[in-house]
Amino acid sequence: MRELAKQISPNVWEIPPSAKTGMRVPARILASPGIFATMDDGVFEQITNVATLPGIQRHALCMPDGHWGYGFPIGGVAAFDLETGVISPGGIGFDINCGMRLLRTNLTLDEVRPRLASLMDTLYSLVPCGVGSKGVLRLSESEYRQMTTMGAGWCVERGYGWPEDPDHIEEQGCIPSADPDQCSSKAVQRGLNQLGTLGSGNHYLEVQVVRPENVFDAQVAQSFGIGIQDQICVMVHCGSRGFGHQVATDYLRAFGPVMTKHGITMIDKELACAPFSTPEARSYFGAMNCAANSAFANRQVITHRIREAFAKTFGKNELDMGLEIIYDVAHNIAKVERYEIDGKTKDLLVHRKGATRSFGPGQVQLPVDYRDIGQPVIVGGSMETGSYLLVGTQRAMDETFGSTLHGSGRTMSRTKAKTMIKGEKLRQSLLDRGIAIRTASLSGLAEEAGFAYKDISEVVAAVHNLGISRRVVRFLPIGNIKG
Amino acid sequence: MVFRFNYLPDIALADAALEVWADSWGELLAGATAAMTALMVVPEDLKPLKQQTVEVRAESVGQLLYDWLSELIFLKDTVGLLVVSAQVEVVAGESWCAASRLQGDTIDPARHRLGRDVKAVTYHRFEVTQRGSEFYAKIVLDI
Repeated sequence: MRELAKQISPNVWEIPPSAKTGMRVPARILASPGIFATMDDGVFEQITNVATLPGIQRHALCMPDGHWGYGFPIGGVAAFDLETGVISPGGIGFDINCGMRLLRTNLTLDEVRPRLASLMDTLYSLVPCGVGSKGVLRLSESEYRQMTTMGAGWCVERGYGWPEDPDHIEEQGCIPSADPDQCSSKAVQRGLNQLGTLGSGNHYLEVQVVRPENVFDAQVAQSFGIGIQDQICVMVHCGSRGFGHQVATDYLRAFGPVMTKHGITMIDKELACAPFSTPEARSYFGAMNCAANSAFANRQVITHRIREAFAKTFGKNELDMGLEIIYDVAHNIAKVERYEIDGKTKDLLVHRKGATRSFGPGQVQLPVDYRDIGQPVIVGGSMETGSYLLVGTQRAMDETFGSTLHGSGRTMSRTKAKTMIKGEKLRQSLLDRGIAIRTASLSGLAEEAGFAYKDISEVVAAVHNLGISRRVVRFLPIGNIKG
Repeated sequence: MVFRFNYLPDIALADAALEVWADSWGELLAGATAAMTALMVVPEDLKPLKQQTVEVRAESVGQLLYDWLSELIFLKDTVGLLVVSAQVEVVAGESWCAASRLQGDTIDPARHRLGRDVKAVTYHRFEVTQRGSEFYAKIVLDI
């Protein structure tokens, strides 16, 4: 399938509908020539499968950090007509609303470095991670279901956050059309003890520094509250934990017969879907939004614990350290958004799987203080190579359904990565480079080595050059907690 | 009992892919259980400190394996169960049924060298077959 892709501009490759039986629109892969050459074959097979789904609009897209996934590739974006289109759990991912949250501080590297070890120990003790980790909150099933309708606001009401926190979260940390009646008891039971936990795999909490040479747009950075030399920020990557996974598992299983009922051909069982206008689809949409809200709540409780850790370590009030949320973005989700298709404005169901919303200036969904600038886009890298803050653009609105990349993208499997380096050796190597690691699993740490990922700067350059988001700052890690 | 399984390094970049071989459907489910557990913890660290009865029914043997592993993931998240050993009885009829009284341990970071957290079973490249007297499964687990 790769050989059928034609380069139509410096960073855009297109596979025509004639490439595969059933394709309704072209598939587009956004990548520099270098990244394109290293993409795995699964990307091409899967993004052309996505292009066969009913009601898909304009084209199926894969971002430069794309790699093989389930159903959709990671980095996949597709928009569907609300009447003729579908919703697919495989276009959202098991970890519903896996996402990124970025906090700033008014502390500098010189202030944090002497107490970094203590800070990391305190963060590690307050933010549970790894297999079987449990949060401090003990909720009943009914309380949990209520939380899934309120998201981050549920936490703030109970003292786990500041009143202004939701203003700087995508959807203000709460998607209104969540319907907890559509979530199984099993899903709720899996989530009960996990609020405020990081998880494992590629999820992390990272203390980072912004070096002056890594500020690419000082004006926009200032608007996002980054303007102090060697400023310390904190980045969190996690999602809806077992609850979201169970919602996805339940509906993937349920959608098989639904496809048969509606005469939709199943190319790949992980690409199971239901027409969005059907009750089955609406049930999943309601449950998925519950999981999305639970992820906002999860990151909110973690934010509270981060503030506690800083207060404890530095003996200062968290308000005095300016631990404010810059933004929080979802990168595994489907949302109804409005775009122009063939000269007509339409509401579409936009699936983003390992892709981030990248709204440009002027969008009413953005916080008032960012509305003239564009949406902060938080891009997580490996614990060795750093991460980025970008800003959304009008071009993304015009060309990619307001979407951009989400991370650097893996190039090596976990199984292979841990044969290349031992976790303890990697931890020592990182410490030697000034990066303090706390981890629940040394073998899990080895699987996350930087060499298992694409070069994040090259991936970010691709979206910057495409104009679907612009570089603002790069963060370098000084401390990382890995589940 | 020594189970025959193997991890596949080139199938699932961000997750874990494995193959299992067995002499019966019950042994196949038990082998898949052992392979999944070994992703999450060093098996030698586990002790048979608790018992858990598990019974799963499904419309096909493939779905039975999928649901079996999904049930164990559910028990891991809700009661902290890691399976030490499992003798699984599989009965085929109008529907398929798997049952076992599992020997298990409760997740304890102080005693266990933990690995990756398995969060879901996927249908990606999912394969369950009988080749003569050999029973085979290929499974990709979401990490």
